[in-house]
Amino acid sequence: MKNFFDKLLKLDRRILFLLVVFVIVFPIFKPLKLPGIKITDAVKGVYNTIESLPENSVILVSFDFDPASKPELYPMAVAVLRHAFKKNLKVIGMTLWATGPGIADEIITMTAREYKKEYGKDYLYFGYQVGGYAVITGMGTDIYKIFSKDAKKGSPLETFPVMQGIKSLKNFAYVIDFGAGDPGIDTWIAYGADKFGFKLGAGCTAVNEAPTRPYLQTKQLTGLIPAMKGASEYEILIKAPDKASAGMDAIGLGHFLILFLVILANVVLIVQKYLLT
Amino acid sequence: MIFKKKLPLIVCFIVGILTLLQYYVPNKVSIGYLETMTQWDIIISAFAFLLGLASLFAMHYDKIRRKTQGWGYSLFMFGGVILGLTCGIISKANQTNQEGFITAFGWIYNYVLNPLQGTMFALLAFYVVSASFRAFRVKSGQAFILFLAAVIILFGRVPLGQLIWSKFMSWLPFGISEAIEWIMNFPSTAARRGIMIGIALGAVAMSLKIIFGIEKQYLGGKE
Repeated sequence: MKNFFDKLLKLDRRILFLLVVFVIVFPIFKPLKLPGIKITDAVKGVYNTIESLPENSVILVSFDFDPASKPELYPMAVAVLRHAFKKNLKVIGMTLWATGPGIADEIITMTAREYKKEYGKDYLYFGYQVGGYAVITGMGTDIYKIFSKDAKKGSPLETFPVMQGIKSLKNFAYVIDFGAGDPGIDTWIAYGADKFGFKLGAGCTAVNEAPTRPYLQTKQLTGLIPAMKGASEYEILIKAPDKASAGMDAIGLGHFLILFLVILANVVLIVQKYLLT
Repeated sequence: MIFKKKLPLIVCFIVGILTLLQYYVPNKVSIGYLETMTQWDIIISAFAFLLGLASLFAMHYDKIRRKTQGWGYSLFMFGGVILGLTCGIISKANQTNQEGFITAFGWIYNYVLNPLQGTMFALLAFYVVSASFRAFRVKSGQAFILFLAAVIILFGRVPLGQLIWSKFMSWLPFGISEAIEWIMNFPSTAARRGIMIGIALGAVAMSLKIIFGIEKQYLGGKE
């Protein structure tokens, strides 16, 4: 018996890897459609703010992530943009990450096409600018000194109708940052929202949820969409289930596998320590 | 000596003090100063990229020249950078052209960078599972509290856990979501806020030391 428990604790990691593959791949081929997702106040914070904006308000979305964080942040960015376009808000996109422009361009173009929005009139893409906090600080006083041209057509920003009345960050009805690290949510709060006083919402990866939570309590963020779970909540709120809702099955089973293995290892340890000695 | 030591300290002191004061003096001059400094900052950041690239090239060139272990990977690095740069310049860093077709740069981004970064990140899932099985051992009271919090969070974060909780644990006066919200809003946030305040105070102290010339490590050398 002791031998069996010893072997169990030293289980070949390849068996564990196979288990991971199974619990992740299985629900992709056969979705379980598990019910029970509850909408949290943090996610409602972003949703309600967008919902409260009048038509034609201009919002700024900063896609501060790269393909590594795409599974977590892409679905929520798509959901938020769908909500914004559905509400006839005007959207301006940008990124502070050198590896972010591809994703940012893809998300904003795809969602705008779904709602038949016109480039320059209903949405605009600033692109990437190097500098992190300096970009935010500069945009706080004069956006045109930081981004003189758009990233898609290379035309001066002032030639686009969507830029009417927009000079600095304060002119945006809402700013949302989808951030996976630095520069990201912290940077937007410290160098942007706190200094220039605009409404800020955010979406983050699961590991960044705990560090970002304090900003919710202090109301430095109007809302926070944490990881794929937050994205699935947002998809439910806008009644458009998509990738996040589908991914929750795999995440659910993955969590349960970790839970099962941690409990198993500790039970085996207790049995070994108290019953087999 | 003046150019190497004293001048940088004087520049640092003046710019540091002015930038600090600017935050508290909101007038036209201070905003103009901030705009200028911000643009300088962005230009310097862009040059830092070039400096990084030059340093990377120098390091890998040295590896190839000396044929150190794994020098072949350095060739790939050169190939990747040159290919990426060429495609980026030709495509003007656009993923699609005016007709909506994917550019060479878009192709590299979508079919090389995207899957490579995704794969690297996905590997974490396997190591997290393996590590949690091997290392997450409850050997003390503190470890038990951590274990309990982890179990509640893992359980309640997913629909299946919420469903099980509502079926079998409904006799409890609180739901799993409330338990998670409490853990995230109080113990977790309190700990995080403590860390944040500590980091902020440390950053303030270090900044003041740099501005007043007490900390000179950034100048290089021993002093």
